[in-house]
This record gives sequence, structure tokens and C-alpha cells, in this order.
Amino acid sequence: MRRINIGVIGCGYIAQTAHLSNLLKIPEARLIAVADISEEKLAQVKRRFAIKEFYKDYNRILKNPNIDAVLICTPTHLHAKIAIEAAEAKKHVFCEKPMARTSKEAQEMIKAARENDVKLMIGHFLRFLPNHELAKRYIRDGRIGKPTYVEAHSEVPGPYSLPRTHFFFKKELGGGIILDYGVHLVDLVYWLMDSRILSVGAFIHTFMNLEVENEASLIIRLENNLIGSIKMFWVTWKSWEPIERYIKVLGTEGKIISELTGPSLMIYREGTLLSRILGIQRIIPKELHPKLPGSQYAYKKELEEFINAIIRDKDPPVTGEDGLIAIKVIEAAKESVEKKAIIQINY
Amino acid sequence: MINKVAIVRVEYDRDEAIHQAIERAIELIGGFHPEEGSTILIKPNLCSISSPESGVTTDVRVVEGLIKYLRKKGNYNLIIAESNSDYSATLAFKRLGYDILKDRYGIKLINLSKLKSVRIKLENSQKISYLEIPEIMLTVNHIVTVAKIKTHALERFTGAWKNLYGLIPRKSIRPKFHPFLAQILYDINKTFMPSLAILDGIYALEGPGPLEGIPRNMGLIICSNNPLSADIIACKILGINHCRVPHIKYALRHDFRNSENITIIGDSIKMHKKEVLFITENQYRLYRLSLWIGKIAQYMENLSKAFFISAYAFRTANSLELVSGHIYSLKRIINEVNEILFKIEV
Repeated sequence: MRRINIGVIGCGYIAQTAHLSNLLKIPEARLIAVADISEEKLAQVKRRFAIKEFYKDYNRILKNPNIDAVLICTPTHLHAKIAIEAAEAKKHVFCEKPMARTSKEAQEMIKAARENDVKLMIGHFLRFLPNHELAKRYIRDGRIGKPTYVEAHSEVPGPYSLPRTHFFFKKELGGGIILDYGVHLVDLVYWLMDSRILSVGAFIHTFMNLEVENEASLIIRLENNLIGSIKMFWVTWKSWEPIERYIKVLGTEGKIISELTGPSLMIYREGTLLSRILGIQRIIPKELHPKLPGSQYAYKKELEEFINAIIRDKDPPVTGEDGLIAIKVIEAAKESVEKKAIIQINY
Repeated sequence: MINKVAIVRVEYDRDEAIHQAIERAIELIGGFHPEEGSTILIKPNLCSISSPESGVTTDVRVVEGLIKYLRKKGNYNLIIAESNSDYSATLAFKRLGYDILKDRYGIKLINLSKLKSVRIKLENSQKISYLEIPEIMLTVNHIVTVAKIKTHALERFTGAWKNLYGLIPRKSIRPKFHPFLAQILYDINKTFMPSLAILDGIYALEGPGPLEGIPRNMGLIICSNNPLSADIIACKILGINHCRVPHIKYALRHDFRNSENITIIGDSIKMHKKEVLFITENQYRLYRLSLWIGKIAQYMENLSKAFFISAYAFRTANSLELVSGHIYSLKRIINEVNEILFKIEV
């Protein structure tokens, strides 16, 4: 069995809570090295995971000929630089979302991957949740008729306990909820509806003396004559109890609501026996526990797909081009805020 | 609402007479009028590979009569569906003559155990918190239950109400449901309430049913817009006190009290009344005792699960995740303890 040797660059929150443990679970992956500029984070990883090599300088991973692929889990402003260097070092690249700060950076990443014949995958993990996969299939099969409207709504406890120097709060480092979080929703809308967003108008709300926005509301028009909205909030309370996060699609014969991180999907279709008796039906895909979110399942699945793409030499399921589409929408949203106008997006 | 139940005599050896009897029975209760283009799922009882003369399985000619009636009425997407029992439903379709209907009337035969399935959440249910159903059930507009009239060693009687048990696609989970059959059948019928119920009583089954009993020629068809009402009348014909059939008694006590409000059309009960044999009362009590012990075992399993999930909740309570979301909170656990302890998860 071929195993893909992997190095992880950046040992922050997402690496420690999702990727490192999942990489260790995947039989076709071998996690060889990690790198982080912070000794404290390296020490945390050392304590928790059985990994051989630890570096402060990620270049040592790139220079290691045994490593086939890297996971980039650094703050957003470093994604493009490291991804391009990794591609030039002939490493396949899995880059956490958002792909980059700008579409220019994203295009350079795609170019570098193409020229060096390596895979480039972006970590839009929501696509791998079975409830969204089911929703996509039901929409495609016409279970709710012809889709007319899509809405992504996500409240998430804001990262307010982090120091204000954290990249979440720095515009130039890729902070702010639109880029850091909205990119998930934009990608999910694009993938679920199989339609790109053609125009966007955005409103933001900034408070707590931040230099970046805490809340944003986007109105969108998509291909296939669809309209929609994408709303995201760094809420100030810490409890998850009142949190609502979903993507909703209305169609000519019914509607679908899929919980953002699972496990459920709600469907209503006019006239069916179950809709008459139960109203909206809550469906839980068999892969997920009915009472727990499916995030870890999705994190593992996306890495499995990345490794599978390398082994089978095929395109990864979320390509650099997909990542670029999401970044273009985010750029347009920011431009809309600046110009107070609806922005058309050119792909 | 008054529930109409039609009783119609039928001769065993004349196919055309059986078809006409079905049409007459349906018309007697006011007809069946689904919307044009509806998807109608027909659920026969094919729980074994035994001929209809054995009293165990639904006679294919009864289903054919229903199809002919529906074809005359309109343009419907008709599906005959059954799940695996001790035998594959696909094999049962083939050996019991249902395959012929596929070609003759252009209908679909579906083995529910072989389809993709999904779990749905049943709100306000008695015993099932999540039910695994074949995905196709999400698209169905009407269900017609076409059951056999039989005695049942665990339940005294089985007919239209219990026939929907076969909608559960995974055979392996059914034993888990057995100790709670009355509640489970209530949940399933409430969720998938059939629009029409037909009972094949051409040959019924007496003795230790539902598989090993003795066939009894009754020569009748029962039809109703309410499956429970159809069963109540069938019980009366067989001389079984329907209030002593656990699943009927349970349904009547919960929401379906009205099912006893019945108008009989066609033949009278008296014309067909034939008291059937059953197992001895002590044997029946022993079966029921085994179910009670199964119930206690299930509650113990639930208790173990509640401890397990509570441990998980204590471990992860108040964990803050920025992206990956909703972690079980203590408050949520407390709210769900009732469900974990007293319901069945599959």
C-alpha cells in the first residue's frame, strides 16, 4: 500500500483540533513532521502526538525529500507564500481556508501548482458533511422542484477571548469575519447549488473597537436565476445553545434546511405523505451520530480525499479554482462595502 | 369521522371475481381518490415464501385487483414494496407471482432492504426517537396496506396495522422493537398512515401464527379507509376480542379511539363469523412474559447509554469550537435524558 508522507505547517487551533489527529487515523497517510514558529505550540503538539520531526522553520519540511505533501494551517496571510514555495519544492498542497487574502494571491498559488504538477486542495470541509451531500443530491434530483432561493446563516461565538493581535482581528493578516468565516458559506452555496455567485452586495457591522467587521450580511445573485443571502455573525455570547447555523434552499415544490456542521437535514416537499403528516422531516445521514455535529467526520473525509487524489493522480474534490471562486466573491463583498454598491463578479 | 369498513365475499378460484371484489370493496367505502400523478406505495405482506393458500402471504390476485382499480382511476406511479424477512423480498416477489405484475402493469417492485436508507427524527413519538426508512419513503404520496388476516402468537392478531412493520428495512433491528411492538406500530402507523387498507381474508391463518399456523378458508375481503378499523372488524369476524390485542388496545388508548366508530358496508360480520383456533392462554402468557423481559433488558441498555453519553457531555461541556460547532452541553443532556432512557434508538 502506498503511503503519503505528510508535513504540517502551522500548529494552531485547526491543526491541533482537527488535522493532526485525523492524519494519524488515515492508513494511507504518514505524518512525519510539523513546523511552527511558536515553540509553545510545538511543545503542545509534541506532548499530544507521536510525530518524529519538529521544526521552527517550515523550509526544513519543504527541503525534506521524503515528504510528499504539506498541510498549510498557518494564518491566512502566509498561505500564498508557503503554498507557492511548497509547490516549487514539488510538494502537494492542502491549504486551509481561506485560500488567500486576494484573488491575485490565489491565482499565483494555482499557477505554481500547475507549473510544478502538484495537487492543490483547499480546506472547505463543510462540503464533506453527509447532510450537505444528501441536500445536494436531493436538490439535483428535483426533490424540492426548481431551486429559487438560497440562504446561508451562521452565528458563531466570536473569538473575543483571543488577544487583539491575533490575525482574526488584523485586516492585513486576513482577519475579519467575511474572509475568515464567510468563505465557508460562500463555498458551500456555490457547491450546493452548482452555481457561481454573479453579483454581491454587502453590509458589515463593526463593534468592540475592532479594525475588522464582526458581522456581515451579503445579498447575492447566482447563475441559474437564483437569488440568496449569506449572513455571518461573531456573536458575543459563549453558549452554543441559542446558536443557529444552517443553509436553506427554497424550491418551487418544497424546501431543504441543512445544519451547517450537521448532523441533520430538514426537508419538506409539498404533497408527500411524510410532509403531510410530519411537516418538515428531520433526516440524519447514517454516517453521523444523530446528536453530535459531524465536523470531525468531515475533517477526516477531506484529508482522505486529498490523499486519495495524490495516490490516484486525479483532481482533488476542492481545487484551487474552487478556492479562487470563493475568494473572488469575498473580494467583491469587501468592494461592495467600500463602494456601497452591488458588485458584478468576473470569473 | 366515521370509519367505513366494507366486507365482501369472494370465491377463491376465480381470479376475475377477486379483482371485482376488490373494486367493489373500495367503491363501497367511497372509493380511493389520490391526486393525479401521485406515487402510491402498495405494501403486501410477504413475510415468508409461502403460497397464499397457506394463509401466510398476501394473494397476488388481491394486489392485482387493486392495481387494476387504480389504473382505471388515473395515472399513478405505482410501487409494490416489501422488505426482507427470513427470505429476500426479491425472491418472494419472484416466487409468489408478483414479478408478473411488473411486466403486465408497468409497476415497480421494490425490495426496501436493498434501497438507500436515511434516519428520520420522529417528534412526539411513543418509542422511536430515530427511525431508519428507505429513502423512497420521502417521495411517496400514499400508502395502501394489503395485509393478510392472521393470528399472531405474540399479539393474538395481525392485519393491516402490523403490516407496516415491514417498512423497516433492516431485519436485524426488528427484534429490538419486538418488546415494544404496540408502541412501535403506533409510531410507524402514525408516521406513514395508510390511505387505504385491504385485508386478504380469502385464506386466513389460525393457530400459532404468523408463520406456522393453519390456513382457514374464509372467502372474504375487508377494506377500509382506516387500517385499525379494518383490523377491529377482522378480529370480530375471527372471534378475537380486539381489546385484548396489545397493539390495537394501545392505539385505541392513544389518539385512535375514533377507530372503533365504524360503519359496516356490504356483508355483515355475522355472515362471515368463524371463530378461529389460537394457542393456549398459558402459552400466550409465556410469550408475553418473554417480551416483558426483553423490555427490561432494553431499558437497562438505555441506562447504560445514558451514562455513556453523560460521561461524554461532562468531558466536552463548554468546549468552545470556532468552526466545528455544537458540542453537547449539560443542559442539552438533561433535556434528552428522557429520550435516551425511554425510547429506542436505531
